[in-house]
Amino acid sequence: MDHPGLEVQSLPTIGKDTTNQVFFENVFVPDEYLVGKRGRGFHMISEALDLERFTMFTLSPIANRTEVLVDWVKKAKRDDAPLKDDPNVRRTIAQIVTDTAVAKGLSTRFVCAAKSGGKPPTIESSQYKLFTTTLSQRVCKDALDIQGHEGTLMEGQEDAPIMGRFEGAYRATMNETVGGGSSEIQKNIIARRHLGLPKNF
Amino acid sequence: MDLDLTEEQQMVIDMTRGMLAEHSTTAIVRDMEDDPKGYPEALWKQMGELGLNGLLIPEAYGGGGQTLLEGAFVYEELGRAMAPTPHFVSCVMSAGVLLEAGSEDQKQAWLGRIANGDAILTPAWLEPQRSFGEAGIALAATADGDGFKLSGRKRLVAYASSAERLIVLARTKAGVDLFLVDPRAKGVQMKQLLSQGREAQYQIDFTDVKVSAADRIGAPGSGWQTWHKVMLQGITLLAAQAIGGAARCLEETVVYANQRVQFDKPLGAFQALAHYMADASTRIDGGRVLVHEAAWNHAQGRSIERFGPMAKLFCCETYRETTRVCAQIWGGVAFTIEYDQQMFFRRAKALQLSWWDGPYLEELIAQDVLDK
Repeated sequence: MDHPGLEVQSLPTIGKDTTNQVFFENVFVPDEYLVGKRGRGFHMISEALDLERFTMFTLSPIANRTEVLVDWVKKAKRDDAPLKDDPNVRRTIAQIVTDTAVAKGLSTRFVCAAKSGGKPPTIESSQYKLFTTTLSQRVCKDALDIQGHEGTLMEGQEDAPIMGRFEGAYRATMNETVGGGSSEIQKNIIARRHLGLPKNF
Repeated sequence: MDLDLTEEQQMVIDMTRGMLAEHSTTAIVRDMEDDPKGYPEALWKQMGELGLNGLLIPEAYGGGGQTLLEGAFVYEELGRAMAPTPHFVSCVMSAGVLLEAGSEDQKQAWLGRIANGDAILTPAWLEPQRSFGEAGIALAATADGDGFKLSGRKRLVAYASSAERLIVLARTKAGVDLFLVDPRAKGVQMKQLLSQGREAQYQIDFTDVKVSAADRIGAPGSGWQTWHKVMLQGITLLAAQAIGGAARCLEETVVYANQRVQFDKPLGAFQALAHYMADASTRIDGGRVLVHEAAWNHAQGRSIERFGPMAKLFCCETYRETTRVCAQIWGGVAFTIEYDQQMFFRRAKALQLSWWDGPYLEELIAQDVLDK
């Protein structure tokens, strides 16, 4: 990283992570640093992305947020009445819990395909990533909707519901449907490789 | 849970699909729409010969003794073929009720005949302006000598015209009770009602219909508990049926999207359309795992109070949404009777509204998640 001509600039985000942009100014790379065969770079990174889509967006933090929300709703009160008795809240929770179970199913599908060897589980990872990251954002959005005005209190404060966990997660998950290949890219992959539809871009 | 199919499971799927390809073509399915009987003899006979009618009935009562997981494989195929058959009402729900709560005499009398397709039984459950819940049962069973007298109206009694017995959910002093009732008994009147799914649906009026005490199924007041338990199994199979319908609807749409050219490109080359299909395939593949997980949990002897409703909720919405976006891809022809798309479109919504609808399922899930 301290190669001459290489410059790294950090880019803070609205989530917890910081990302970077990297500038190359005539950076010399010796032959022995070439990874794999020449001209195969995109192929290799595509295979790596199949795994990234799964490993960067693992189910556990997403399923965990569903559990945290359920536990909070069970105990919370509004106007002195249990929040869980609100029919809109009950309906939202039922939908989130169901979709979380489907995300788990798609994750199981990926793992089964990966362990069977053979081709990289491209389709399974794209389906998993598409569904799960969309769900992940929806859980945060629905959680804030359930919390109402208190949902606006920023993460890290004692006075915020669940320490502002969903306020923070709402920001942090914004990039999940973009990073590792956007939802639209996943749909292109599924359309072409799974359904056999023609190239569409 | 292992997602790989065993050889036997794959055989059941192949055998069922092969039989349905011959006996439940879309021409046959169309022919059965609004038919007072509602199912073709040849299909029913074949299902019996392949052992599908007794699939879930224990071997001791003349069935195949398979689990709900094998049932789910078969139901996905029945959904693909839109098979017009009384299998669900007779071999799943009625047999399920008898297995759950029937006396030994009742089991001996009916299960073997249901298993070989000789007898069709169907539940008489829903009532006008009443819900899917326990409070929805208002049809009165009043004590009358040694037995009961039934009075009231039931709706959406499928295949009632072929039924040898109805399983009537009725309100007694003890709560909800289940009764085996001969539809030819005095005071029973049935009338066919047309419905969106176009299967043979009946409204049945009961006027002082006499039923003996021996025809009650289970202990007094235990009817709703029995019904709820059997429904959990039933909706898991209907979720599989929904996945089958959605999968076939999507497959046919993908073929069309590859062939039909517009603005010098196949329809499938338009991202707006391809993305509809990618979303549908993701929901179908995810929903299928959920169905198998529900069925597998039941086969393992675990509760499916949450899994069953989740599977039906998700898969029926997947079926409905798949048929909606597929109609967008086909364009105007999907709206015509000539094309098969409308058959999936109507059935998807009808299935979603039947045998516990979305709000009822959501409330069951919410109870399991929030109130326990």
